[in-house]
Amino acid sequence: MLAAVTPQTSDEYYARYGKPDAERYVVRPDLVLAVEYGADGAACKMRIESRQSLMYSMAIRTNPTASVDEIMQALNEVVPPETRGEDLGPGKIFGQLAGAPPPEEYENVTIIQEFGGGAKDMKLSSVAVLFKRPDCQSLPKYSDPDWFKSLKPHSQSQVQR
Amino acid sequence: MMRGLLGCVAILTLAAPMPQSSFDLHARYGQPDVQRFAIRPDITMTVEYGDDHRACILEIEPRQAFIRGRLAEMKTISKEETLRLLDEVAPPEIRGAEKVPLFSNDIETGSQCMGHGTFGQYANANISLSYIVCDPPAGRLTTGVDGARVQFTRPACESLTKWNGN
Repeated sequence: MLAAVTPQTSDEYYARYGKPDAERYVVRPDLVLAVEYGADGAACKMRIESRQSLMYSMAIRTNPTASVDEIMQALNEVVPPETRGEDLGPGKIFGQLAGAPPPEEYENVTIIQEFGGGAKDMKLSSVAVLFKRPDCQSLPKYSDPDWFKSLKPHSQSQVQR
Repeated sequence: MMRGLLGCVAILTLAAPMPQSSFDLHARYGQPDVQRFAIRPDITMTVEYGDDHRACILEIEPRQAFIRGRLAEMKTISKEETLRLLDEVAPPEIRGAEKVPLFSNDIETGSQCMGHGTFGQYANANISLSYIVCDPPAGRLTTGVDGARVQFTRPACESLTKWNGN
């Protein structure tokens, strides 16, 4: 009897806990889009990366499966260039990113390319998008020291090098 | 003049950033494979669904940024609250018969304030907890749980194993 009332599907969790504050969508067979919403229910942060189950969330990705083309294609699909606003050029970063491009600042978003893979073969592993809407102000931004603290180990080691 | 005004509005609308809501993304990409819910004001539960659209993995954590790396903030939940939440989202009736009780095993995973891990095994699920124990002069002190995971073992959850990120 109790088993029937314990939520186990998306609708049941929604009914008990309300709207999710973050979600992940499969945008290509091996590529996902993680989204964190602001108080207004619209996306504030996104990350496009190779699909990985939560059961491996502590594992280091040594060989991300998605190609650079796939990642950039998905980026242009979810945040089309015409919606980004004026290109303001490279953004400021904390520390040095050895060889990695700095974040690209636009009027409406910041786009950060994140690199991973083996030590000898660094490749684009994910792209993060931070929206600049007022409702997103309470979420951490890349310019906060917290952002680099929260980046993946590979990106961290680049910063420290 | 009216036509010009409408043209300007149309251009502005096209140029404006498209707010991406859950509804928009759902319409474009279908059901999400992962969702996170605030199950208490400062505690979240991330759910990964299986092929049958039912929960396969539940991760209970202190609230922090969803889009982040592996270096999480050092926040914890009390052991008592964690066990209450586990009973709420995966009650014994759902877990099935107990095979290995939680806290019957313990693995030290860090130093100073030691990270510890323990797991429980049930007929329908495995539960793992990571928690922190410090050694102040007054004696050992469990400061709290920094993460709890329930992994259901239904056949519909088996396909998740192929998404190992490599």
